[in-house]
Amino acid sequence: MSALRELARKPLALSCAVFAVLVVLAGARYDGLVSAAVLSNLIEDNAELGLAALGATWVLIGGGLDLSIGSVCACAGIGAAKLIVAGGLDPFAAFALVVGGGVAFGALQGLAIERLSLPPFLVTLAGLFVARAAALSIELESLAVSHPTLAALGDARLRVGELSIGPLGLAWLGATCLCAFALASSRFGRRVRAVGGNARAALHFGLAPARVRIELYALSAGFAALAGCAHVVYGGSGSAIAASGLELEAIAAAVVGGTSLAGGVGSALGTALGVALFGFIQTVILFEGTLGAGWTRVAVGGLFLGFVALRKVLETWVRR
Amino acid sequence: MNPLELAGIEKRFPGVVALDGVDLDVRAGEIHALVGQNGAGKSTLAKILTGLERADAGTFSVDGRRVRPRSPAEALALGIGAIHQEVDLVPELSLAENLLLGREPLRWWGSDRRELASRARRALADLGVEVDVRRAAKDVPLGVQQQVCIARALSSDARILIYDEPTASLGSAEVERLFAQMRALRERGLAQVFVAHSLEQVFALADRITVLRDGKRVGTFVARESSPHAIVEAMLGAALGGAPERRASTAGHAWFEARGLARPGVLAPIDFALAPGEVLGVVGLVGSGRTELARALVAADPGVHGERLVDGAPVRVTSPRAAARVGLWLSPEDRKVDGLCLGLSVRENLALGVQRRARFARVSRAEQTELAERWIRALGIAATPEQRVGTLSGGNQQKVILARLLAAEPRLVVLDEPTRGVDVGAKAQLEARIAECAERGLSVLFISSELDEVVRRARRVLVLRDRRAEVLLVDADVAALRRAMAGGETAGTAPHTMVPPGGRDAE
Amino acid sequence: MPSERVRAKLASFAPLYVLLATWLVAALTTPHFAELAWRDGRVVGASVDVCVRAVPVMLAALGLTLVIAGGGIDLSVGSVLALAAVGAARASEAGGSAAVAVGAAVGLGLLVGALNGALVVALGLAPIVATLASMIVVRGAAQLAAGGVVVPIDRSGLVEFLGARPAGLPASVLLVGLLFAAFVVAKRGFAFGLYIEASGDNPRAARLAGLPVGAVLFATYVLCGLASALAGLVVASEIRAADSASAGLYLELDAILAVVIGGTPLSGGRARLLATLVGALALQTLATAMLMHGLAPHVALLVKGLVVLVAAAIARPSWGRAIA
Repeated sequence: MSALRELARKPLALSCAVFAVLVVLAGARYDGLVSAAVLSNLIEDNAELGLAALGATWVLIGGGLDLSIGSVCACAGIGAAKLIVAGGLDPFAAFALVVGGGVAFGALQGLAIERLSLPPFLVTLAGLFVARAAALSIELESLAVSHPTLAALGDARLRVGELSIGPLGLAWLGATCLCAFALASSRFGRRVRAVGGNARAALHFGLAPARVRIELYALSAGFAALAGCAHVVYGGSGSAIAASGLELEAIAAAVVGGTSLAGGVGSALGTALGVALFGFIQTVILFEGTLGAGWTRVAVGGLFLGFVALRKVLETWVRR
Repeated sequence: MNPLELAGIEKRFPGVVALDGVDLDVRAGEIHALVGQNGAGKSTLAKILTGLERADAGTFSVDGRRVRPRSPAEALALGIGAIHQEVDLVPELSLAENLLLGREPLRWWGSDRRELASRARRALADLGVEVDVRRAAKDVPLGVQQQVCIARALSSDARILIYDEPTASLGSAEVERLFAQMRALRERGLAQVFVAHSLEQVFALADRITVLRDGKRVGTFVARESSPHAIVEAMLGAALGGAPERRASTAGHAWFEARGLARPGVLAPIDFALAPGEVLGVVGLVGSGRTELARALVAADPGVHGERLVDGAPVRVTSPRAAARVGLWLSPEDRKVDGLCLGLSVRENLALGVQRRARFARVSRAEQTELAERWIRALGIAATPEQRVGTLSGGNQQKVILARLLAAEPRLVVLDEPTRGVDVGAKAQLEARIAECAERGLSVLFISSELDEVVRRARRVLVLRDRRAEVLLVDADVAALRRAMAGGETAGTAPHTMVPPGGRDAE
Repeated sequence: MPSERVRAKLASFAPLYVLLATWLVAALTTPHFAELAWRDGRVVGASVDVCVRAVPVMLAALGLTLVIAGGGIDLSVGSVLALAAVGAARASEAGGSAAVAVGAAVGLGLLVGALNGALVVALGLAPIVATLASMIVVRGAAQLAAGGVVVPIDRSGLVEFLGARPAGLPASVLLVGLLFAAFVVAKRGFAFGLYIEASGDNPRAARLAGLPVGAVLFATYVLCGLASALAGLVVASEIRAADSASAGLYLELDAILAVVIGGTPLSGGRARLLATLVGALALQTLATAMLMHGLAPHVALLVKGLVVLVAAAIARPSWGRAIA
């Protein structure tokens, strides 16, 4: 019992356990839900959210908040599509350009927050409006992209046993592992955790919290732009009105995965788990068959609520 | 040429002259104490030394070279390390990471964890500390965290160390350990500046003492040729009256009784009783259950067992709100975290005290202001009613809490470390106010690490050890309390009457 | 220091400057913007239009001000608006009187508010997480209740009730005034305001000071639900229908923005109700002026983003950033 409690003390382990319960329950109800094919699809379908959520995780751990993720994602998507279609650029060059642009945009937001000491909520909310405006000014309509490289990317699959993972899934999983490693043992990761955990101590230690945070906003916007590229690869088109509300989903996924809104605590693996939970809920709804928009929302929200409530109850039980 | 020399340092903040032409020289192999009342400029001077603030005028030299550090990083590069008032480590990082943050050994693929741990272990072993450096900072005792701060400063080759009230959050054993270390570092020839409130500590440690008052240097004294009395007079700028005497014993029947007050796993059952106007002292080392007892009494945390009897009848107390209903109020140990709404004004914080009696009905703004002004006068709080509490000094914040408690017209107040981090002048005022209230029939549970204070104020003292009541001493002296706190040798301390916990006065 | 106090005082009026500046720019650049006229027993003009259009945001933002002052956040206001609108429409469809329709909407708002409060206070969930979940669920519930269609309000006293123009002013604007007055009375006339601000500033200290922190915070969520439901009534009666999918979408962002432009810090501890209304009006003035100019939606978004930044910069000294 005490070993169980010790295990449950770790938010990540707790999330895993609750998730496992959910999978077992759902697996018992729907045939074929727990299968390699479903898992493969889940990974590929949620890479966009997964990448965006990684950015949100970094910012939250550093004690900040980024609401511009969805808009930056849309702007990067439509921007890349336009560059490929109208500019005749190679997709990878286009992707590199928009990710660079995203990083610059994030750095600007970070500068406004840290140098002018404005609240992150307002600055990134302004960023949400501005980036969406930029996206709409690139192209109001959705823009379809057809390019041999993209077609090849869309068909490429890595087969591991029964799993078959596409390039987006690989990118997401790879980025997750990279972030997990960077958070745990790179100098930058340690700085981020220090700044988010105790900014005053970090300052006393001779770190520059403001600089670290600016870098974080740049990183977050970079991940959002990457998610926009993933959107183009996944759907074969860019759209200025895509990904609205993505920032809330990304933050929710990070929080479900054990990242604290107060800063200092969080993990990339936990965020991946949070994203997987959302993906899983969508899959369950798919298996349920023809649910209306209303029922889908009630199911998504209800399962999400059930998950966080159950975890909270367990957490309280552990603390006692 | 001294390692550290300041001359004519000035620092102004909007509307305040914090430092006005202050000189300071610190020799190698010296512990130099910096004392003064709150607001005298000690902290500002320490901040200038450590690069957190920059002086407006004056010269600052290290080893004879003029310097002007603009950040803690630059100060550190000059060999000036800092140990701050509140132990400031990043709670989620490991001790090793905290120790070497920003200077981690790197490999091409990231940081070298093994090298990190071994370097940290070596730095701590240098100070004689054995601890698992992979543990998170939040999981080790405060004393160990403090050692990490010192090791951190030393491992970056600091030759000048600035301690800004380093003992504020330490227990007495940890303080002893810190002092032993500071003496050892003195032998190594380091220059150390020690900003302190406790003159007892200053005289135990310092070679020279610089006194600040109102941003000016009053003088520098050689500790061996001076006395605490002289220093206090220099700090206050006036002759000091005699120390308040202990009051005569109170007669009267116990109106309040706690029976088997306990919180499983945190506090073993404790009994005690209080008469009107009685001050019951509670002492114990950090972690002995002092704070837990204080919080259990007003049911600040869930899961408290035991009975509370008021005027002989049991009362149901399940929350601080319920405790307030029967007249029990707590002044918590950490005033910033548990005691005050720092963003609200003095008036609003005080209104919280009377509001409970008024329920949801309105206490008019005029009444609130009148209340605030009355208590500001009564306790000598240096603030206006509309000033935000977060901007006040520690002593004034503590007075605001005390005023809030007293404004609520309580029957029993629990004061958990009411004088921690409070300067000498304010301390005496606080003590006098507490004594006055007791005279008017208020019962006080007085918890403090400053044993002389406890001995002065309380006839009966409950000694806690290992989260249980060790013994109840009557008319004990400081030495007897120390022995009881350490445990074991309480039996046979002849002149002191021993009463089992829960017993009445032994007259 | 008097100069400092004066500066702080001036800074605390920042939302008003933003409103005046936007109104002035709009009036100077937009033909007929500043005109007011008396026609058929009612006041008409762009400024009145701004007030009317700002009503939903003002109502929701009033409720949010209390929640945010208590240290929380409520993302579900837009969904509650939709649910209340559908509830009112269904009630009047079933032949209910205006009172029944209003009762249905208000009841639903109170219910969701209580649910949010229970999740945050009793269960201890982070407000942003709990209300994000209820935002999704309540929107779904609204769609279920509407049965996937836009529910029209045909023959109802509801529309007349809220469409009335006593004293030449739209009833919906008076409703805002009424709710504002009620909140001000609750805040100032009773200890509620002090209780909310103390609980938001430092819940631990407030609890030890004997305050019923849980009950106070619960009440803020319930009141916020009520305010959002009233916004739902207004929206439903204005368009004479309840659209469960799009009504109140992104209302939470505009409402939070209004609260924050008004100077209520997101960290809690202060409630500035009047400033919130001013903030909401400033946002709507901007939106209306851009609409009258015929600005493309994306240009309007860009301008909105920039104005948010400027507002934040002006209000900076009164943010009450972390205290030493």
